[in-house]
Amino acid sequence: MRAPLSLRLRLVLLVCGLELLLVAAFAASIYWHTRHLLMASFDGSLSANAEALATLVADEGPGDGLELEFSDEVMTRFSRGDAPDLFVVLGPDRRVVERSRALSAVPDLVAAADRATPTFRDFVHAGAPYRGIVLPSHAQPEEDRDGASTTPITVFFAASRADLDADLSALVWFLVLAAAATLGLTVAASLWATRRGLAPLSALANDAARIDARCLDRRFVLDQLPSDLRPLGLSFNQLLGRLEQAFDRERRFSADAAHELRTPLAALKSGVQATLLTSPDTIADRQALGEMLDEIQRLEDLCESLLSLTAATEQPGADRSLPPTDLVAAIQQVAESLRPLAATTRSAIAVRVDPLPAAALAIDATATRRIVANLVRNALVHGGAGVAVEVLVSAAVGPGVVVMVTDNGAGISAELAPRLFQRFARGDASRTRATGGAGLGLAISRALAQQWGGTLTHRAGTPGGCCFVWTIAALSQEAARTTLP
Amino acid sequence: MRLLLVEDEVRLARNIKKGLETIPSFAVDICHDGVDGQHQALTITYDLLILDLMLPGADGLAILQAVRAAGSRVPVLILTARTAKEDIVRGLDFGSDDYLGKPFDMGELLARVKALIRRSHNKPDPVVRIGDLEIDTHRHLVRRGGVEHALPALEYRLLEYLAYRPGQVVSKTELLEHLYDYNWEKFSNVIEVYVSALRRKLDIEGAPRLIHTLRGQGYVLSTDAPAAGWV
Repeated sequence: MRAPLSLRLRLVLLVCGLELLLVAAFAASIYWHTRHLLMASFDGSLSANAEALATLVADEGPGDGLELEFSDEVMTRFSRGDAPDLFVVLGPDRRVVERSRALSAVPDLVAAADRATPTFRDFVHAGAPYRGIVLPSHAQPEEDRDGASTTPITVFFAASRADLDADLSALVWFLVLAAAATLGLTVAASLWATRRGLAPLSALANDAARIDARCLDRRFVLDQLPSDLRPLGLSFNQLLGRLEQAFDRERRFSADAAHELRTPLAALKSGVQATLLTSPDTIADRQALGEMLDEIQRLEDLCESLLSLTAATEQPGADRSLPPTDLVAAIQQVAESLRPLAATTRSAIAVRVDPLPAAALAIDATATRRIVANLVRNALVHGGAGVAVEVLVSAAVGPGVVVMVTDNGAGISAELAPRLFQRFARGDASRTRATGGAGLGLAISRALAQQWGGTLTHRAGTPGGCCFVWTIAALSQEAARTTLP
Repeated sequence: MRLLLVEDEVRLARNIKKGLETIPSFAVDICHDGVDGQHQALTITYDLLILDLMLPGADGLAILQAVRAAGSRVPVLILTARTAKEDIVRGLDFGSDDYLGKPFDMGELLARVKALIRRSHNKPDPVVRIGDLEIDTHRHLVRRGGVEHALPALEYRLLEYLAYRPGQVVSKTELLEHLYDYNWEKFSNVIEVYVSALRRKLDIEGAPRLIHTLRGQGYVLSTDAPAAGWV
């Protein structure tokens, strides 16, 4: 589904659409008005010329009929140029009294014209556009006659309308260009104006983007927002209030859970340790107490794992970053600290570092150590004896870094693979203590990785063994993910 | 040293007291209630406070605030199940000196308590040396004149108390208040008995005595030449 248009574009299109309509209407009315004036003027001149011609037609009486008397210069006017004026004078019987040289025949329109009223007609003569008037009129009576007899005549006069058409055409072009220019300016002006006008909205979006779970007590100051945005600001504030409450509930739950789990453990552990300090030296008793301490330690570790898993899934990643060099240092520390464990099974841990981008990473040292320690320890504990574990730190395809922990050990069974990252998932169905821990390590590692915007996945090694891939986002990627567009 | 432990879990409090009292230096009072704890912390001068945070009545932070507001610089260790970063920061900001999460290792608690007390007397070295007197506060052994002594708990406690305040006059009452928990008897001649025992073991022929008496005022530990009025 296509994304909706941005507000700015919408506003600009609306304004320009409306303006287009207005400008079109305006331009059309200007055009028609001007055309009307021009036509009226042209037609007026046609009428004047036709009437002038009519006054030159004399009725010589029944014998000689009608005569058109004008001088030769006037006559030449009608043959001048390549679009000369044309005229035809017809008598009452439609006989041609006189016509201009350029006209070889009487145009049909003259014959067909209404005898009673003057009519204007457009036509083409010798390839040129003309407009003419067919004027019913009367011949001038003989001077010495009484004004009684007035012979009806039809005067046809036409002039080239090429100039007229050119003027009209120029007018159209002018209007079109003016409209286009106006629209273009309007588009530009509205784009600029809407950006400025919508600035409070961008500011609101930026402010909202800066709010995250660590500062949910912030609220928008409604008085500082323009009145249109106040409802939005109010909704935001209400949403933040609800979020803050939800986070508080979660935080309280985690704190309460921690307290309830840890307090009895503390009583148990302190009791055993105090007894060991103050009491009997019988070996059996010390041994029994030592075993109790071991079990308590196991419970304690499980309790801490569960609590850290809860923390990782509920609380947001902290606002820290790590330069790639510190990441590598933390990984090397972990490898160093686990070498003694590796030595007990004749296994080896190697850390390889490829060239890395310089950008700071969205992760912190503690999380790094937890994740890498978990992955390496898993390889040592579950891979068998004489395992080679390699931690490879390299640049990701995009920004960010990839940490791959590979081993050539026993690998992960097909049965375990689909539930590998689930809580309490273990390879040993009998869940024997000797073969591993509680099964929370990978769940915690993945939750930690995701909390920081990264991923943790597994693929089978080649050949055999395991390959865990931990991607760490670069800090700007993480910031971009949480910023509103 | 007299310590106050404010912890509402009865068994845990008892175990902590048991553990602390394996160290000859310590006598421990317990309160299970925040209001009692605050009252006791303000009325008795302790050498160290161990506070739980979640308590009935006043919570640990309130007690801490009250103690600091009263101007006391007694070292405070917060012992609690709430180990979220915000809680730790808040506890330290309110004026505590150390923070230990539950469940804790008893050995770690003991070591931290001893370190806090050493630091509060400006003696970072676990071996306190005054002149030719050496007190190993780690192994609770005393050496003077080449001879090493393992003293009974209360003699050691008294000596250590005086050794943390060399050259200062300490009254009998103060000694009674700091060497015993609330069960202390008000018979003050028990102090004289211990002082005599210490003198017998540690004083060297010909050298000035280690613990001097100021009539009517108290005792001073010093290896310097005695000042006027010192006996």
